[in-house]
Amino acid sequence: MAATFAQLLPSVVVFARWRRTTVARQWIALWCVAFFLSDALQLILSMAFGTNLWVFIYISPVEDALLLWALSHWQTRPVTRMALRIAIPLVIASYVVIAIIAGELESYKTFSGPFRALMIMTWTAFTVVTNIATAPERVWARDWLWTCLGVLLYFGMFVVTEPIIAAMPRDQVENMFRVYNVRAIGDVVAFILIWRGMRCPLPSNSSGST
Amino acid sequence: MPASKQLFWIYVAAVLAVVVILAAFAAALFIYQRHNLRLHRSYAKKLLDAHEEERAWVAREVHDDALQRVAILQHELSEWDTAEIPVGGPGRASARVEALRSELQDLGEMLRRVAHRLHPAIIDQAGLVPALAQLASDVSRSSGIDVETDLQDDGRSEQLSRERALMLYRIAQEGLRNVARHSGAKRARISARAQNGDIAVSIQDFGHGFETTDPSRSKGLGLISMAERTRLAEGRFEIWSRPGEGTTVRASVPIKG
Repeated sequence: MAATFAQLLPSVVVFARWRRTTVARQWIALWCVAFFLSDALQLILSMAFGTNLWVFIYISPVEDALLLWALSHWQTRPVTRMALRIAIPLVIASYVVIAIIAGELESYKTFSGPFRALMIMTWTAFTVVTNIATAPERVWARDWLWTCLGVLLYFGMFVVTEPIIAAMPRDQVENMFRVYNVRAIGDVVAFILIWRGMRCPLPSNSSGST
Repeated sequence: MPASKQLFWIYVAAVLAVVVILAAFAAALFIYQRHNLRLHRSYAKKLLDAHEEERAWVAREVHDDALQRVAILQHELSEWDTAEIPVGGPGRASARVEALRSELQDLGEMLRRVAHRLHPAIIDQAGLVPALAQLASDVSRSSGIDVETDLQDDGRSEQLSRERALMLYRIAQEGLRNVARHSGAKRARISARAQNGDIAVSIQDFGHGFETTDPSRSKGLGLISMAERTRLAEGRFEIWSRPGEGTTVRASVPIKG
């Protein structure tokens, strides 16, 4: 529950100064809202009907599209900005292909999970590395750094914990809960990092440099 | 689903992710390359047009102004030569000499202006800072814009190579030309600062401002040429602007190297 509400932290900061913030932060805020809505909906549906996986099918392409679009605004070169934007329809098409191949919900999540984690972590790591490489000064006060660290932590926790959970025998419910709790703590820290990024001072309004 | 089959499909999903990333990069590079080629062709054309325009301006100045003045001088001298007794006596002769002197002075001034536009000799003679001060005063006089100067380079600009000094001067010239043409400003400021081994020249106006875009998207040649000149001098070019808040153009180049 705390992990779900932590997802709203960055959005609160951005929505409070929507007109005086950057486009990238606005998209990150929308991404966080989509994340929150998805998790909240899944929570409600699982309590009401016992099944919630179908939400994942519709929401995850939207979440990924929002995140890739936000990351595209932090690219230092036009060509990488374009690559991220081209990747959006390709990612959505890939989800459709995965859904067709998987056939049913459980398999869909098993296949789309690694696809999603690899995709998002690659683009995020690429963004943070290229930005650090071209930053003219210290990067601690840059929104992209904290946001990318948060995203990497979130998907990193997913990559680490999913195989452990999958490998656990079904009767080890207590251990499974422990792993989920560790992941929830990681998720809260991840969104605190993103929240920290949203609180960074705004960059000066520059057209960029050569 | 058996674990081995599951693992196979997870590998397929990972491969799909890599394929998507590579495909996005390949498509972006392809589109960007084509866009760049078009942009370079358009730069080359604009550059040729600008050269032609410059030549046409020199030809116009020489033909319409200098040659007319030379013709008048020739006419005056030949009239003088053919007249046996100066009409109007010695007083009139002295007035004609004065008129000739003034005409020659104007001609010299006009030729100096043309020469200065082709190459500002003041950079070679006095250096960047006096050249920028002179430029500010010239622009103030010709455009009516109040151009303030804030030139504190601590003498470091003297260490700049002639090429880099000329590049910064041209950037300042283009920047002020843009201020006069597009900003609607009544006041502008030109500043030069020495900072961490760089010399930075800024041109700030207090006019309309605009939404900043990538200099390469500019339709004119002004911002492109400023960015290109800075790049050639291994420097950094930046523009800050917002509608209603004026514009600042800043070019910084390394003093050495």
